[in-house]
Amino acid sequence: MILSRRQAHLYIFTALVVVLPLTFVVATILRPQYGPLAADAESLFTTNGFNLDEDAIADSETLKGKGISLDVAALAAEGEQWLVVQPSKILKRPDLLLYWQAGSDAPEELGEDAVLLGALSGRSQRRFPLPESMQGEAGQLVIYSHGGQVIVTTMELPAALTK
Amino acid sequence: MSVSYKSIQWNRQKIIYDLLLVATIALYLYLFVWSTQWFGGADVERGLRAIWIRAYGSAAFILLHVILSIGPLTRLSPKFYPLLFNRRHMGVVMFLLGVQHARGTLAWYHDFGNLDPIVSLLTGNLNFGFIPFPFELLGIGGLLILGLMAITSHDFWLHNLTAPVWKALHMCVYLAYSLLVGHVFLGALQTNKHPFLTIAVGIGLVWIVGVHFWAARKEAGCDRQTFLINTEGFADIGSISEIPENRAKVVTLAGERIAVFKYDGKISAISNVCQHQNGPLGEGKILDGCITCPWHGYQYRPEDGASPPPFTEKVPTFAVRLQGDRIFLSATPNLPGTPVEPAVIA
Amino acid sequence: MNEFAIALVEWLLKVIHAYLIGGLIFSVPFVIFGIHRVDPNVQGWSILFRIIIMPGLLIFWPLFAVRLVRGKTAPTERTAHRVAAQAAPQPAPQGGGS
Repeated sequence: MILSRRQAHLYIFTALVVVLPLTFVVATILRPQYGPLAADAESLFTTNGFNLDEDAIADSETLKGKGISLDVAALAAEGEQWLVVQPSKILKRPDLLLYWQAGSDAPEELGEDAVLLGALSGRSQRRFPLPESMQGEAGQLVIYSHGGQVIVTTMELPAALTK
Repeated sequence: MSVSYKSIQWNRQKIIYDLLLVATIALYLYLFVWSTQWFGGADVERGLRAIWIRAYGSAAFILLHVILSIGPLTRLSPKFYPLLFNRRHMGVVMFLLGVQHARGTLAWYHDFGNLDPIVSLLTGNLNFGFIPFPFELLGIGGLLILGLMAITSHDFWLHNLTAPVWKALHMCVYLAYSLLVGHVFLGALQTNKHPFLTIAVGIGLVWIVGVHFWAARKEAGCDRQTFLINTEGFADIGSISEIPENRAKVVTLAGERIAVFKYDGKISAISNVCQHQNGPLGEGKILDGCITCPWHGYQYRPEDGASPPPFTEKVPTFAVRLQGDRIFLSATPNLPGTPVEPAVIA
Repeated sequence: MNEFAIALVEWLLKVIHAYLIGGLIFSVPFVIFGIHRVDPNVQGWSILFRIIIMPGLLIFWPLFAVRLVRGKTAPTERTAHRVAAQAAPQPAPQGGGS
């Protein structure tokens, strides 16, 4: 290094020897005490059908579709009939919606009469209330990509799981 | 230089150096990801890509500490010069690790939105209080500087920008270091409160800042020398016995350091600044009759400060006179490459 | 979301893109035809060498454009001793350090 660069080096580190330790100490002391997720956010998740307690589903059935499998169980609680759904593996797509469609054939396109149950996310367990029209009926679970506007996969939902 | 540029100047030592470097980093990344999975259990599966982001980021940050330690360590002992020899390869590798860290961040935290991921990264956090601070911007700033250094690391750039300009550009690494330390303090350390991490980052900071400050003060002490210049324009800079054979005494005169070499019963003096990367010639020794720079081995003849053909580097020379045991050095440099009769020791 | 910040960042990214594309348009013919004139140390036709210096050229291309137009090569570095030697009253037998 030439002399002027050595001088610059000295000036730079005379400043840094004060500034950086000070930043370190202040940044450590002022660390926020709150967690990344606040407790009052829980109600938002619950209204959106996330089951934060993650019930152990007693007799769930694993339904397999193309690339996706879901653990599904019927649940009667709080005077309502629910469908509990949990992906067996983490979902790779962020925009999946779960529909139910009557009938025994896998649909090619989403029908007019398809019932939107809700969205799926990661491996989160979801609890969807079953509309009366679905209860006791056999049909198809349709996993639909909202962004791609395509059916990702379908799986048969036996009548046993809707009552 | 008058020998054609090579794309990468690999020789045996450099290949060993690079292989060791890459192997160490690969081992670190593997251990990081494996141990996080081992201790984190099933939860970790959801965030494997987030773990890789941390693995790359921490590897780059540790490597930055290693790289910044080398310079001051050579002030402590010449034994550390072999580390410096290939420091630029280390810097490029560190930059690539930083790029992987940033790429992972873009894909994991900023994709799938309605904004371009880069726009999202740049505008997602604009809380310009002290805490929370947009630490992402600090990281981008640091990475851009490291990138500028990596793409100008070839000798082509040293030659075309000239060494002092190149060195000034590459001294921006201290700014990059400050930004990246801020990136860690105000980013990762805000949510990860494990005392081990805080203490490790703190120790790293005290070490780097401390050792650089110490080295800078030591060098400044050497530069503050003053010599009385006699009527003929010569300064008494010391005695012959102070200089070991084939080595130099370094003095500061005429605004820069001068290397005064003793060899074969003669004394010659040239400017201490190597034309390649401004390395300290006076800390090198005479090999095969040539002054050899300790940084990258560039050579100069002591009699005229010129590199032997086919090389074309030249540094200024200084007239030397002896009076008994005392060495008198001219305070006026000759043009680079000017032959000067060495002073013969009686 | 801060609409102004987003607009500003998107505009800045466009400017940077334009600068880099300008660099690419200059640099590709430059590394093939012009580089020997600006730096005589470049000998031969190593492709890997040209690829390695390419990212830097995308940033520093105006410097080389100016040198190419003026027919200049890289200057010699400026250090205190070189400047003092230039200023010193002495014959310049070898004419170095220009």
